[in-house]
Amino acid sequence: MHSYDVIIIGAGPAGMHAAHALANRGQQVALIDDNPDAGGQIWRGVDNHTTQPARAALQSPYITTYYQTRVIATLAAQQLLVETSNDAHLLHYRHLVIASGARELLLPVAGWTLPGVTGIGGLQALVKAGLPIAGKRVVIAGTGPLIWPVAVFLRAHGAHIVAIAEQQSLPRLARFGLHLARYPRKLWQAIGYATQLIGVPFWHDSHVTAINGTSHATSVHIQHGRRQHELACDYVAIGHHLVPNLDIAQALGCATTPAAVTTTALLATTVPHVYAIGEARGIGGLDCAIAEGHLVAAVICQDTAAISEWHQRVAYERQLATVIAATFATPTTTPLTDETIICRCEDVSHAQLAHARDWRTAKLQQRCGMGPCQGRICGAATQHLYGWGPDAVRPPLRPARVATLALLHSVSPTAR
Amino acid sequence: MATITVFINNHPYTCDASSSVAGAIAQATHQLGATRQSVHGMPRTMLCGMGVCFECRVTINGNAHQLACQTPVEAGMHITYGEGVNA
Repeated sequence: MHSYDVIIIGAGPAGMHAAHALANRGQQVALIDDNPDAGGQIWRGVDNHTTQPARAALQSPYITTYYQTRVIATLAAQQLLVETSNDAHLLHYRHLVIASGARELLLPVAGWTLPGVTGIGGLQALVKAGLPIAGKRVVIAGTGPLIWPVAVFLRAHGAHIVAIAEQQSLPRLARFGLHLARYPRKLWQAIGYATQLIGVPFWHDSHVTAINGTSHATSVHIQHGRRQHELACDYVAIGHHLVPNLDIAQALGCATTPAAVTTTALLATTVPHVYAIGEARGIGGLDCAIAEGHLVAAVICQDTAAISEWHQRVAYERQLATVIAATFATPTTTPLTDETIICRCEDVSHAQLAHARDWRTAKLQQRCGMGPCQGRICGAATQHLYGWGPDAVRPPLRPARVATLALLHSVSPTAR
Repeated sequence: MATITVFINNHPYTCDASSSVAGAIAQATHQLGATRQSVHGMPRTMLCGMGVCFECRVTINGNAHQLACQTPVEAGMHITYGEGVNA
């Protein structure tokens, strides 16, 4: 078994900054991520665009990185069972930092299972990973601040942005803009995005009602106020802001709300030795994640001067998180048809779930959420559509190899 | 741009060396085709792009259910997708 002072789950901005600040204080750190590289969903790799501490973290002799590594089970006695692409390990920690980030809230609509329909961040991630987008017609729909940088990114890569269809009303978006005035760097960023999207049709109060196609999406229907549009396209990027990844925290027994791991102002969860930072603590964005990475290192090392400095910075960044949540965290959906698929893994339709009382009965009777993604897509969707709460999280947290689970035999029964 | 050759459904294909398997499939198919068939026979392919939805699972070097979006391409890699899909 490998033992570390601190294990950090998630090598995004929060986790990397925490790792760097901990290593600078002499802590032995393990940094775990399920992606093949560091950087998280926002940076996707480490290059000149990332911060200097994040780049330095990967050079530190105090930091061991585990990429393509998934947490399969959280064990008693401060251990994790993790699976790499070809191996498995038991890792022991003195302190555990959950920097598990966020995923997009992807809500069902008629036709959303067609190839060519992706998340908004999802399409950006796929383009960064090699999907050719030059000359393709893209409709971006849904809600959230992610729409803007992704639209700019896709356009810069040669995509034709047919339209941006944002659900929120103009007054609501305007209020968000006013709040940004207190964050000059972000305001300039927003102005920059708007400038780079001149000529792209932008519709507020707009909802996707259906996506058409047989083997691939070919057009999308959008309700824009009282008008209906059908837009021909090659890709539909549709997402509804972000939801935090909470399953590891829940498996550890940490208290959570649907929006965040519950923590103190100094990032401690309800479980001793376990901290949460970044999007896992509520969607707060890049600067917030970085500040919380610094803060958690100061807290773990009891560096009072740094705690005071970074605590103030976190408080400032978290105010913006509150505004973002008030603006974007309550997406609406158009009425679903009976045939609309809710659980993509098991092909469970809206009609099939009509009589399910809750998430558990939907799982037991219809296999909703029982497929390979383990409810990571439809769990958040049904919470939003039907108000269902999550069930207890049980290991294995991800599909795992039998050889990985067999490692548990080396753990004494009381420590499992 | 550095390129490497992989085998996609047994056909050699030269792709950008920095691609994920998902990116390589997208380059080979131009328009993102179905990479798997759902339990009721509907065409499906990558949705989230970040290892959450499991829609992009393909067979890589004989290992089934690998996530194309989280696997970098390697020279000579054998990628099989779309078994059972009526393309």
